[in-house]
Amino acid sequence: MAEEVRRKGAVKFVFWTLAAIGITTIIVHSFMSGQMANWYYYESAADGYAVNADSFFNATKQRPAILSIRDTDQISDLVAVPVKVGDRLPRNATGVIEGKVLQTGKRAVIDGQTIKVMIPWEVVETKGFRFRDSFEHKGIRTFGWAAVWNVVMVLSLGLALGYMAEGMTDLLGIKLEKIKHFEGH
Amino acid sequence: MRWFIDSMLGYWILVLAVSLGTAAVIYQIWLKDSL
Amino acid sequence: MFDFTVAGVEAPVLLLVLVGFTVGTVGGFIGVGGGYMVTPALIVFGFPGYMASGIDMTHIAGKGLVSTIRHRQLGNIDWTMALSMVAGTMLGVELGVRLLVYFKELGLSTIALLVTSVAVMFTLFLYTQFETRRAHKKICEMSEKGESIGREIQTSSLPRFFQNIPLSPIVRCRTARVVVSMWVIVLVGVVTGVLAGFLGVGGGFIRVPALVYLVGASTHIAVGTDLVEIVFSGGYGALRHSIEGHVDMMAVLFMISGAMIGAQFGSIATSFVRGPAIRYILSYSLILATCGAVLRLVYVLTGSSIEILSFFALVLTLGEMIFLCIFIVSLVVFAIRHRRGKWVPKWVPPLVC
Repeated sequence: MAEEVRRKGAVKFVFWTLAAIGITTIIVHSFMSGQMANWYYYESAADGYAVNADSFFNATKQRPAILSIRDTDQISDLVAVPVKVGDRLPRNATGVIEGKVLQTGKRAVIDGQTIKVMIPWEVVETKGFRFRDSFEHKGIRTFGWAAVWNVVMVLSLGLALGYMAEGMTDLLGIKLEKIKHFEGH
Repeated sequence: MRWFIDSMLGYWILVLAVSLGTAAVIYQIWLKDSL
Repeated sequence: MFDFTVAGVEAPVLLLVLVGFTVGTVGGFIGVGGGYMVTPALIVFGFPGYMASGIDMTHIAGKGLVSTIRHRQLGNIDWTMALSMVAGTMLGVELGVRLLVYFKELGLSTIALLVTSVAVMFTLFLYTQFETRRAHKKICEMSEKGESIGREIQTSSLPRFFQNIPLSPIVRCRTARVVVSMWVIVLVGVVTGVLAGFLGVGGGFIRVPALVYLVGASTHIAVGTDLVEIVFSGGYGALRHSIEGHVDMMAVLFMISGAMIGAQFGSIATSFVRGPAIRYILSYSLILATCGAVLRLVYVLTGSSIEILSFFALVLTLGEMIFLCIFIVSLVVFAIRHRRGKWVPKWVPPLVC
């Protein structure tokens, strides 16, 4: 009987471990291939200019970053691509400098065929926490089905890891009995 | 020292001190510069 | 340090795994998602606030499933209770979120929200701590009289009141051995869901006491059953947060890699203790979270000028998870020692079996 439990446990453990490895591989591959970032920075949610916020992270008022405005499929370095709501974002875009930000002129202004960025990020405080508020994630919309993919991945992984652990305890002969909740009453 | 283990309150204080100390060390090593 | 391209930050991977492990342990033991501990910790690690919530909620869904599978094996889930509550919880969370948006449009400040969460957590702490001490004392008295002591002792008279409400349909929760109106369970789900949605938390720390003190479930069953809710509410929350662009799956993966071990340990640890032990840990979690929120509140009220308050709030946020984890490990170690007839502190025997 115990041998049978261990045998079944071994099968359960191997199967669900392989499943967990498979799911983890899919997630890691999605990250390494750039698909995760591509699905995340999917389309523009605002009218403005798509940028790579990291490229001008160190800009200051004294030494502003100058981004040249041009149409391109891939942002490399200091480039700003004009976009409208619903447009697919170019590769490497991580945010959109919206028109109203440029109109305000406090953090960035249009200067001919360039955008001058003076304040790339500022420290914001909310609920007692401080964090950096940059152009990263601003004005972007993620791919809707990626949300479903996220949930399917995390629940599948949870399921696989849960049954993998159950298989492992069976394989090791660790007997976990049902708790007798009402014993002694 | 015995009180810190024999008494529930004492144990609570002991574990809290160890935990907060560990947290302070983690903060100093890993997090101080990023904030 | 790892470059999280979606979150747009570099963050320490080892700390993410450790947070996953500690919160997995605590969550598996007291039946909470742990968002009220994890979200502040992720913000401290450098993640933006909205991403911290999303990553936390998504990892909770996966971690909750890991814990649920183990709790199912231990017989800690009452499926009738769980499924009766799910719809109520989801409705409640949605109402809570809309209530928050409504009040924010009316000008509800961050301070008012912080004060509300402090008030709720502190009230829950007081009641849970007070009742659990009474239960602990009762176990000591029973032990002195030589009476046989079960897994659960609970001294609140509230469950009898709610179980006597005659609104049909009346459901038989076989595992929990509770016969109660389904509407009571649904109402518990709705009310705890509203609080959770309003305060922006998962709600486990409200639902577990509600299941124990209002519905009358034993603590172990409340923990296991609540974890089923957390899978549903976490999954729904993960979907919503992902649509809004608040989730970095690599951060979720690192946290789950720690949580998968922690959740196992925390869930199995419940088999070594009696109900009051779990309720003690829950109340400690509440008071420490309250203290952290108070420190942050005072920091905000003083115009963010007293830096030492912010430092203490950070240390308390991280320290809280470590504290709870160490205490749970202690209980298991003491339980094993007690079973083997070795010395344990005198407050331990009534809490372990």
